[in-house]
Amino acid sequence: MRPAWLKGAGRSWRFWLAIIVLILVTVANLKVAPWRLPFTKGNRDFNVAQMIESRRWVEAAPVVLTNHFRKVTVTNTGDRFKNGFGFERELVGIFGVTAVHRKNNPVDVRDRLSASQLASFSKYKSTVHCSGRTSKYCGFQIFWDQKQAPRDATFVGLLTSDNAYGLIEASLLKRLLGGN
Amino acid sequence: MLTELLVLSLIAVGGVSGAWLLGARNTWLAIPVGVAIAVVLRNLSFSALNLVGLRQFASVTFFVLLAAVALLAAWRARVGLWRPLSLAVGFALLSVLTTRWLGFLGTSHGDSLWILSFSHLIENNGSMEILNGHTSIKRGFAYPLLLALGPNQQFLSGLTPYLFAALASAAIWLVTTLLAKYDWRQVALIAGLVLLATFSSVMPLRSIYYINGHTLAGIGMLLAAGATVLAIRDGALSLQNTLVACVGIFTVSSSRAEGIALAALIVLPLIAARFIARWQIIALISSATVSLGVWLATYHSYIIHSTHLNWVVFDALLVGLGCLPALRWLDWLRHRLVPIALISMPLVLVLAELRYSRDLAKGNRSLFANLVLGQGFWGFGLVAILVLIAIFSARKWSSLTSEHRTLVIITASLVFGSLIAKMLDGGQFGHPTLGRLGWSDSLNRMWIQSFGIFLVAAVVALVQSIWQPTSEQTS
Repeated sequence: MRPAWLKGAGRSWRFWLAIIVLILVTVANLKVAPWRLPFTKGNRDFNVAQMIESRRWVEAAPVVLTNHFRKVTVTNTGDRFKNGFGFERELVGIFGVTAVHRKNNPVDVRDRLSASQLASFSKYKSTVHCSGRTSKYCGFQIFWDQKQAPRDATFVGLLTSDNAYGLIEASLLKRLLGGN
Repeated sequence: MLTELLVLSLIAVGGVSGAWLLGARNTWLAIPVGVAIAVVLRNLSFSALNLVGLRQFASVTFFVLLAAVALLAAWRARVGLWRPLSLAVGFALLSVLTTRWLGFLGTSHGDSLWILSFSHLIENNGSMEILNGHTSIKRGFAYPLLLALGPNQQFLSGLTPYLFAALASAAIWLVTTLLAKYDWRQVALIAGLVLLATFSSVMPLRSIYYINGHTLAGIGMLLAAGATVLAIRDGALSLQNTLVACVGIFTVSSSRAEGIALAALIVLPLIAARFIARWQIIALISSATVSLGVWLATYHSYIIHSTHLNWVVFDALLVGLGCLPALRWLDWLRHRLVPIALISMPLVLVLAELRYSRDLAKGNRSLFANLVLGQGFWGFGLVAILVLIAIFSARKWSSLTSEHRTLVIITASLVFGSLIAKMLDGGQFGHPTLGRLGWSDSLNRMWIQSFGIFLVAAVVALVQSIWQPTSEQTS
């Protein structure tokens, strides 16, 4: 027995087409279609700068530096479309990096510093925009010495491997290279 | 949590009160119109204070304006206002509880973090000149401005789900208004099945908490579409619908870079109508041009700099040229705008496919995979409702109701318009594209903006094609 409010819809091919298609699509969505969690739960981080750092965003470098240092100057980032890496101008302004000198390419330390020498000073690991040979993304780390880094710091761009860049606090770089 | 609840409740109460004062008395309509009014107040007050170097007072000014509107409405309304107010505050409470207490957060995405960065700049009274590049203009103005109203150094996390609730309210308003003559159980059956078919996929659910301007743009688009459909059905654009369309258009035009183009496509049937007054054409178009002009000027946009014009001259030209369609000697063209748009857009797409076949090949495959094979996380629902709209509209055109026809025109315009907007986005760098594989492709996310209109169009097309109206009452 059909409800009265359907009013003869049962004899309409349009009614059955709509019902069948919509039900089939629902079942297919639930059973066949690719699925991911639409959103996450349990977030307790609403501070914008902290949130950007914790998300390991490809553009996060200026934000990470200003999260940890009072005044930050950055050198040797180079040109991200040539031999350098991305260090976004808008984010430099928004989060208050004091100065960025992009003219010089990153210091090539591939043959001078080993990964193990740098590893203990790595404080942030992510990716960065670059003109890599196989991808527009390169590996990226930020290095500083938690005990000796000054509050007002200068960071120097590094080429750490063929597909990875880094930023290192200037006095730490001097110490590591001097020790070689 | 309390600060955020108070701020969001004030936005809800002030906005709904403003909507009530402007004549939007329907409970479901008042909430999205309230959001659009909040956008208008926030954009204009912030930009004006920024102009005179008093940005630091922008948030306080906005709150005072909202409170004044709420007090004025309370004084005038007496008891008529409590329903939309309590619903809006309920939505605000629910939104804040889910983000602050349960910790619901949108999927992490680079665009979201850019937008949060801009809101951080605005909250900290930073120089707006920083935002003169390509990146910032693509991330919108209205949405980061509202997000910046959060507690100290934090974003207004409850805003995003509140906007989704407002979008849902707008859809309920339009469906119940357009189908008021039908048995509510018929409408509920079809609407329920359409919702099941679409919300059983990821993207509609993801858009609830996803930090981006799509949902806000969607609210403006649905308001503009609603006012257009109702005006064409009634053969007249009432003052209330003019205001609804204007605040909707203003909202879309400052939410997304492609917003002004989508707003234009939505109100095209209205602009082309013979019954519309010239002052109404000017009001509708100026809502878009003023909104965009204020945004570009506040961001010190490279678009203005590239013209070598002072921003005042640029904005005056933008608004002035926008008024041209109101000229009497252009009426011959204005009345033919709908067929011209509906013929020219597919033509542009076909020509682009032929001219840039190599550039577009990958995008075509991605578009197909995203929408039809589920890679864009729309499941099969988005394509299914578009196909159903097409099937249920494939009859003698004059046998369809006015609202059915207008919604089909708007739906088709938005589909073609979104594809062209995406193509132009890539095309400005010399390589037109139709996107890449995955949910985060910008075209794939742009469907969020049109989604509300597609749902309403589907429900109206299906219900009106299956049943006859049961009563002659008008809404």
